[in-house]
Amino acid sequence: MSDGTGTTWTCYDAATMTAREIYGRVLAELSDTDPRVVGLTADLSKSTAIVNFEREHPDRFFNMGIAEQNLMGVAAGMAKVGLIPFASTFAAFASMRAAEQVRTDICYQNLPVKIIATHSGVSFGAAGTTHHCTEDLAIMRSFANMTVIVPADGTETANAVRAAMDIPGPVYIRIGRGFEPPFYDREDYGFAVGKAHKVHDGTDLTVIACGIGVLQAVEAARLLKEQDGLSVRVLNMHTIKPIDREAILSAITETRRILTVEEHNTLGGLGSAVADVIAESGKGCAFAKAGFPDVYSEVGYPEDLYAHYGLDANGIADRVRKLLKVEFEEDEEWEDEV
Amino acid sequence: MPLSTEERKELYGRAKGLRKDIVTVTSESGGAHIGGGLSALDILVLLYFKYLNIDPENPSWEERDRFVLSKGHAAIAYVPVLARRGYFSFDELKTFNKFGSPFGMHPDSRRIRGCDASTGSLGHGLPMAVGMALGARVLGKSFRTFCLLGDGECNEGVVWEALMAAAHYKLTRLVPIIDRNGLMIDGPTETVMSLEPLEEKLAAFGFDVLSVDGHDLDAVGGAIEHAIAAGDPSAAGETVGSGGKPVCIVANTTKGKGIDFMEGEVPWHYGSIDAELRIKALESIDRMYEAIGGLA
Amino acid sequence: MDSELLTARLFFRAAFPVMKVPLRDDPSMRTAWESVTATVQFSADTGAPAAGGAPPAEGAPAAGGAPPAEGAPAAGGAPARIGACLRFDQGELTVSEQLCDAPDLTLHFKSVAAMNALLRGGVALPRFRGALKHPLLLVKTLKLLMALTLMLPRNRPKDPLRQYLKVKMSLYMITTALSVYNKLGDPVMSAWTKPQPDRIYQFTVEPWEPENGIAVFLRVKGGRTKAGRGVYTRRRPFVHFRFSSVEGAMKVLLKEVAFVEGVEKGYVAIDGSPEYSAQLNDFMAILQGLLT
Repeated sequence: MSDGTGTTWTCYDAATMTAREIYGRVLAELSDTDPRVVGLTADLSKSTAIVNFEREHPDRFFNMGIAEQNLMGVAAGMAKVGLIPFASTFAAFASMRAAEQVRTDICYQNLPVKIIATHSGVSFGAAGTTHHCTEDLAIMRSFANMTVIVPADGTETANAVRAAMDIPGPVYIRIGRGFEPPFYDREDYGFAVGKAHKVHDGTDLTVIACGIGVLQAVEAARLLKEQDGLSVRVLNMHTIKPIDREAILSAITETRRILTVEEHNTLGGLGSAVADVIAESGKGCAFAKAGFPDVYSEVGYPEDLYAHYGLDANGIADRVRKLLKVEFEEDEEWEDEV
Repeated sequence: MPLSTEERKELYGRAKGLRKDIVTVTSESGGAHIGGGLSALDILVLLYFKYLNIDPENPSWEERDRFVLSKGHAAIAYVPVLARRGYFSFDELKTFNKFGSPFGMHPDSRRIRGCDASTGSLGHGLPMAVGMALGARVLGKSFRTFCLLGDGECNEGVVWEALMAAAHYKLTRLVPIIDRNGLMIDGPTETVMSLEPLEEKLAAFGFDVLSVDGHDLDAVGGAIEHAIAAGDPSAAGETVGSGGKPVCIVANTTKGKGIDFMEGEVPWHYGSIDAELRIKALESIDRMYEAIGGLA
Repeated sequence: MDSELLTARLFFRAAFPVMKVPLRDDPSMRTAWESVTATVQFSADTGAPAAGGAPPAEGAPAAGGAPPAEGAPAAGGAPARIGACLRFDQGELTVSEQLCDAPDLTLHFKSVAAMNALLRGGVALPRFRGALKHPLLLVKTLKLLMALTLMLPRNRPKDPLRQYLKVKMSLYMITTALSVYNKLGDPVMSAWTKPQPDRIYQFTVEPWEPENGIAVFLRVKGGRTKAGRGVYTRRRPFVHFRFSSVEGAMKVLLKEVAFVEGVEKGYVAIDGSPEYSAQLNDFMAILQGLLT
């Protein structure tokens, strides 16, 4: 049964599972082997698909009702007595309604609470700005001790959830509404927290993307190769914090031009994190950010919104072409060295 | 009567000594939330010197009872209690408020031995206590979780979220205690943002509410014992006593209790004590305990 | 632009400056020129009428002075005379694409074709001026010209120094020639450089070190080109021709082996776009056809 607005999860494709479903499945598997895992939600069990976990381990699942601040405080308390809580709700509520609890209860005490924030960005299109979240990466980045991961698809979400178990402190995993197309066709491509995954090689320019941007960037890279003969590198920067500085520095020295793509405000998210590295490196690099330009988005299907804000393959390709026209200071010198 | 004659003497003695400790630390540190510390002290004494199942030699003991000081600014009372209970030396409190010290206005669980939760921002403690109690159930452990809140703190909505959840999940091994001293920073609670009828609200939220004099050790002890009984499972594994209802204790207290010039005074929410005031304070404490009968 | 004129300008701008290599790296050359301060002019008549009538006397500057900007015709048409001025200063050489003010020695050709023929390694006799006054200069200049012929395909040196010089000179010349060819406006070359974003085509003889290593690059960006020396560090090369050694480079440059075989045999490795490296090879072949 399909509900296009995304208020309940549905199967995108019987054969390939969506991010939320995979999350629920992996969580259930983890808790089969690890008795410390518990699940929590704020009345969004079905919407965040943690309902799979709920079905299999009802004694370790707790619905806290529509009370996100309490949800995070309770998760902190459970972590204090030795459990590993996975707390799911929409990104807007996890990162803003309960921001203080996340920071003061969970991050300050460095507790192993794993926050699974769904419906991030504008993936909840029709619901409008009150249910969108284009600020969570900026907020979560600023909390010490927090690890921030934005998986590109369901498969990567599974990897992230498993990896989160091995991180001693808090983790924030940000996913969409579950209709996102799959990107990886297998799980063992070498996911490692804090290490960008080079999904397309190139030398003319680097696109650093996360979440839905990864698939779109790779599509754009193919487009640009066929139409413009360009060689574009694409990095899946799934871990926003700690960010993979080495990969960014390589992109600076090897391609000199970087475009970031994120379903987030251009202020404070992936783009800003990359800009920090570029600026601190002291090296010249042409740079641009694709994201929401400090605005609240319109209502609409997410795919339409991505196109409108230039975050789809065509939008990215256009931004790449624009970025390639940016001049460096050194470009004045065209005399042959003889 | 929950307390034997010997116990009463001992506990009142402890409380008197700790009131003086609070004066000492406040005067040496440059300032503290002394009013709210003094109103909470008797509750802390009963918990830490009689009712909490803890082991200062083993602060990480997994079966221990948990205590969350949700009104974290009462750290001025809390850390001397922990010291006298044996978690660390009282001398360490000389560093209170100083750079690099683990001891300050609010307790830091990462650095203070025996402290179960870092608190300070009002409203955060009770949800964590709910989490601990729920966690105990998942782990199949029988420890109890006590949580001390301020009354002004109950303005925070998240406190009521936590109370609602505690009742919903029948957390009878969770005991919230409210230090009802009637005052907050900008004035009496009923003037700033009224809480009354508080007991009715708590009852409506699904609690068995006990309202006692927060400085009468017998009364507070009786309430705690009632709450403990509510959390004991019957042979059949069900809770008895309140019929699955958790207990909430409203301790009616006086802010600044024991130091006459502070009692009931709004400004003494936070204050510093110079040498002159220190003498006066200590004398006042002596007078308080002389007036309590049956301790000699 | 007329083919011979184009070729001449390529010689002036890409080949002559390569004389710096033997001047610096060949000990006997270095010794010969280290005390010399002189100017030598190479010139040729184009056959176009000079502004104002008959071509000027040899040695005198053409009416109108320096040749016109790339591709643009002079006021009144093509220049009557073209030339390059080589300034030697205690072993340092500067080449400028214009007639000298008062050269100590002039080698003048009656036609551009004749000059090109000589520079390609063929036979053509210039008219000398100043030869009697500066006989030593003439001898040294001719020796230096001979050094340039090391780049010709028929020269297959065996000793390490001359191999080194040949590879270095050839790579220096070919990259400069590619850049000049583009700057002079060849339509096919321009069409190739115009759509490219910032790209580096790097040639390196490995192992490379800054003092004596051989490395050159061609930077291509939006229609502009620049030939460079050494290894470009500011971005990863778009195409990188890596020669395993001087000998390997020689074999490939001499076409003793086809490029593909060169890769198989390990003389050269190519990192980067196969299509673009092939296209660059095509342009290099065109230039080699013009200059050798």
